[in-house]
Amino acid sequence: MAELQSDIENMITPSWLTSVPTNLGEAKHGKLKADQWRTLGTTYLPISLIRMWYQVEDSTDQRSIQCRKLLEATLSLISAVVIASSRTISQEKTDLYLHHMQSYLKGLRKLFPRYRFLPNQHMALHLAEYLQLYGPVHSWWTFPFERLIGMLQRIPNNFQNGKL
Amino acid sequence: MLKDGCPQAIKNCSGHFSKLIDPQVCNTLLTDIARFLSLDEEVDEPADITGKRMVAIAEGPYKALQAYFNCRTGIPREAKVLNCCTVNRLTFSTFTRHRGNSFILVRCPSLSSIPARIESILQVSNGETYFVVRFFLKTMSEDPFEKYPVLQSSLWSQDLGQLVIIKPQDVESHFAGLFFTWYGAGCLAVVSLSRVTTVFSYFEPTLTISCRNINYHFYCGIFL
Repeated sequence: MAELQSDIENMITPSWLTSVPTNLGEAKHGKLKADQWRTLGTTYLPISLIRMWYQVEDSTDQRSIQCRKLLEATLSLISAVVIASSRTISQEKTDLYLHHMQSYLKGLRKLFPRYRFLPNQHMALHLAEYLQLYGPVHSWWTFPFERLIGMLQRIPNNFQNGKL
Repeated sequence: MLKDGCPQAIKNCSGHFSKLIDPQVCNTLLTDIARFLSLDEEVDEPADITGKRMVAIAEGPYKALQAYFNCRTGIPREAKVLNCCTVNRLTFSTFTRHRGNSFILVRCPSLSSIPARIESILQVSNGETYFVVRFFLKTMSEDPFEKYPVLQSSLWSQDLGQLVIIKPQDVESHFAGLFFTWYGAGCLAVVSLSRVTTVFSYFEPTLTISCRNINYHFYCGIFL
């Protein structure tokens, strides 16, 4: 975790990129927002995890082998996220999204046989259909509305609802 | 909100809607909005031209300009030296001004984009803006990112090439970079921040192509 925190601190990024807490993993920074999770996953994690887990020096070292498998599964998930949040979409990309999402879930099943999958992981398999039907997620995801609702909720109204 | 018939309650919330697209807020969602809004705009104004004087172009950038214009006549001798420039509502800065805003991926015909850093920004008398950049060189180490093309990441050397001139339109996107040691060599891991994913459907053996006097090794593929 310390290495990941160090990488977050040392990564050089443009000023517009969503910031990720440098003390990641500590309770202090509170819950991450969806965009912070996406930025963490697609920008920071690939470099840090490949740097730490890609090299398997000793083929008999079980921990290294397990880390490498975990890396493959995680990178499948990240690849799926990158494709799903792309500004352009095509039949080939949706197929590839589904391929990576299935690889991730299969990897998870192999690594953690007792893990109980969640409804969100099932729904993620259906996202490929929606990408085909409705196009890039930017045109139909609800984040702008959620952001606006959050701002409206923070307006002081002195409990006089309907009298804005 | 400016249209007739917009409810007064919505107009009263104009301040809050403005906050939603506040350019000072660091947020990828806002960058998405800004990029879409920029599609309707034709002109991008450099951010800090006010009060700048034309000065003689330094020797290094001038030689780069000569190479860019192929030694033709009419190469500008003077320019305004800018610290930053706004293109498609994204700010690009010189390396000394803001390291993150100076790291760019440059489109290269028939090749993947090449990472570079902006050394200086010149605006010549006819209003044209040029970025003076140095490209990062390809590393000799094995690139672990080649196996994961969807991640749009790659490994480069920390060494930089010569000064080269590019136009702002040649810039594909910013990139995020991390310097670290890989197999004993100083490397730079590059993650493209372009939100347009380029996906390769299959791979063939490595191909070596020379561009801007640098040899690059790439995998061939089909853009989807």
